[in-house]
Amino acid sequence: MPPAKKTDKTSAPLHVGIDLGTSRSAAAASNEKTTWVESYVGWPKDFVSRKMLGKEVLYGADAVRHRMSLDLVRPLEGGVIREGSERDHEAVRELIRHLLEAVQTEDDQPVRAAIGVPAEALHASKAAVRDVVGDLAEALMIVSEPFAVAYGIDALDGAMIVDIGAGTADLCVMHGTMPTEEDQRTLTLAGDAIDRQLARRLSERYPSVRFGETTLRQVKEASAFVGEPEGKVSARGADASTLGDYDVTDDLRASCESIVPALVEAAADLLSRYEPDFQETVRKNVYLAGGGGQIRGLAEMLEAELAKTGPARVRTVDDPLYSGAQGALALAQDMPAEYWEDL
Amino acid sequence: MAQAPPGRRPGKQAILREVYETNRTGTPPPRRRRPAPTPPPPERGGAGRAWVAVAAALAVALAAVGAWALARPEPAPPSPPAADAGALEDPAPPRPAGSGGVADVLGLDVRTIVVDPGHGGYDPGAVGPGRLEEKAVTLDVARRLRDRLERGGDYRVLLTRDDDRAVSLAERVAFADRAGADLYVSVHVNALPDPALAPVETYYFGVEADSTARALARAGNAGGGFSVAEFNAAVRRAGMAVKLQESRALAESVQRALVDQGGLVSRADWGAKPAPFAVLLHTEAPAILAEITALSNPAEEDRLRTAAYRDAIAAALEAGVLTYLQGSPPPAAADAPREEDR
Repeated sequence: MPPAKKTDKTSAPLHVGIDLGTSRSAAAASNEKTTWVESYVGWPKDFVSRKMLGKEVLYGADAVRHRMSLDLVRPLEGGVIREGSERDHEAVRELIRHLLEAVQTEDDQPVRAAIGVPAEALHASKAAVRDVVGDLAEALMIVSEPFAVAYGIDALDGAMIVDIGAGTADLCVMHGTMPTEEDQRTLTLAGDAIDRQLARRLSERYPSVRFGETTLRQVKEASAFVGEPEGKVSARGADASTLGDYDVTDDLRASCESIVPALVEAAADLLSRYEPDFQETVRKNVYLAGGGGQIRGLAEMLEAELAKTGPARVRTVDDPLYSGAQGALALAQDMPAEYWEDL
Repeated sequence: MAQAPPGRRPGKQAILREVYETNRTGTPPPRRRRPAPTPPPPERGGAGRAWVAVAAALAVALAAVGAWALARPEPAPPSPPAADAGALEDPAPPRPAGSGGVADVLGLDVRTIVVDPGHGGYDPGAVGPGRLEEKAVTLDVARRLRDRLERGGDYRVLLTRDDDRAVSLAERVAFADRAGADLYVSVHVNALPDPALAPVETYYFGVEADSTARALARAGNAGGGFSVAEFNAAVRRAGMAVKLQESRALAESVQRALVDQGGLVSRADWGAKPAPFAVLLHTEAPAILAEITALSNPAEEDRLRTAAYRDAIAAALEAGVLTYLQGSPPPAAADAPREEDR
């Protein structure tokens, strides 16, 4: 191994792990700073809104709050960066810039970033991310989101990650190497599908009442559950003349449970590709991650369903919101310096 | 299928190495790659196939840009495996210094070129005496131009339409602006009352330069106290003046190339000239509209039916654009047509 190359940079590089999600994006850095933002970017629509908001770009919840005055972009809708849309690319860039600025404490500190992107169409997103992030970081590695999660919890062999995001749910079996396409399944049935299902059910139950999209998403994020309810869940809606709170408990439950059969089927199908001994190991090491990992009761329900066909143990990772970013950070930090320098 | 022996601890180092390898080489080295599928024949474009082609072209373009960003690390990489050497050999930015254009002065790179095939869908454009339609010719020439410009991997080239469909002028302009176009090249074919004529002419958007200058001077002399709206308008006018200069330079370069290299036999040089075409006025990028020949001329119509001729015209357009960008003609501009006549 040749001696480490001298760089003209004085400060040690800052390692950053980023989870680029459809709904939320998070970053964790080697200086122990973490941050997250809802994956929204908004640009003021016109002169008036720019003046009112006093900003050129708004992010996350801030952007959602002022959506009436903004061109609001959710750049990773459906789990991939849409190709050919400059706005989406620009939004991804702004998101990553925003995350990096939030964790960077010293100016000019070179950044080595590992970025987890949705497993689906990793290749397309990879190129797009490189395209837009290029000069924000000194070096960049891009991995699939479930792999980052697996790396972070050290579940590299004999484990399955079920990463339920907004746009996609990614299932990934780890067998001691980088997962290939054959080790992964992607379902488009995830958080956004739950939102749509909930809106549809409520429009049938309360035909004259309108519920805001954002309201419903917030209700879901606060109270999503499967199985037995812990209490009544209500949402604010408006009919022709009045605002009021409406009971949404049953519809929220049904919407959340609607993704379970597909998840179980995909997991069983994926498992069936492996040797029986290995299947057994994997069945006992299933980890739920992503926003969907926060659905109360989901791990238990999946475990019960899987147990019908063999041994099963399903756990939720410790910190679903940051598990991807922390995993990517661990990867960035473990990556030997000479690999980074070569990128 | 990859199948690890169950229960064995994986080598973390091996996995890290894999991650590194896929990030080094996972994206193909596309700098010298041709865009994947050759576009379908122009006379009938199945919408589905065309969309696939759009997607593929975009994917290649994105990969190319990505690899380009990859291929210019500040310090030389320590010991790169030889596989990627080809991608590293020529990391020069697309635009060499010294060409004197305003983009050069400002240190800007031209990265995105929008090519606009005229007409389409229900609007055939000009129709020749033998029923050849302008919309088919412009689309084919535009695709060839795109493929040629993309070959070097330096430019992202987008078409305002990549199939036979109607696109309004406003949509074309909006597309170019949304795509962040640095140059806008609209391809048209003339039709004239006199079938003997077959001119080549290239338009750029022209307002009366003097009035622009006067307005600029007025804003500059007004001192403090002019409103934001006035200031914005002045800035816009200044931008317009810059765009005008650039558009004219581009138009002259393209016109020269079309006349010199377009395989001219019967065509006449009608020059580069200003005209208030909507697409030229409203795009933010320097914009030209090339009337590559005249379909009303039967001989030209026959020649336009051959792929070789359309390719020669695309090569001339390419040469014109590259000459404008680089100040010298590209080495490969005059190479042989890449497809047999159909």
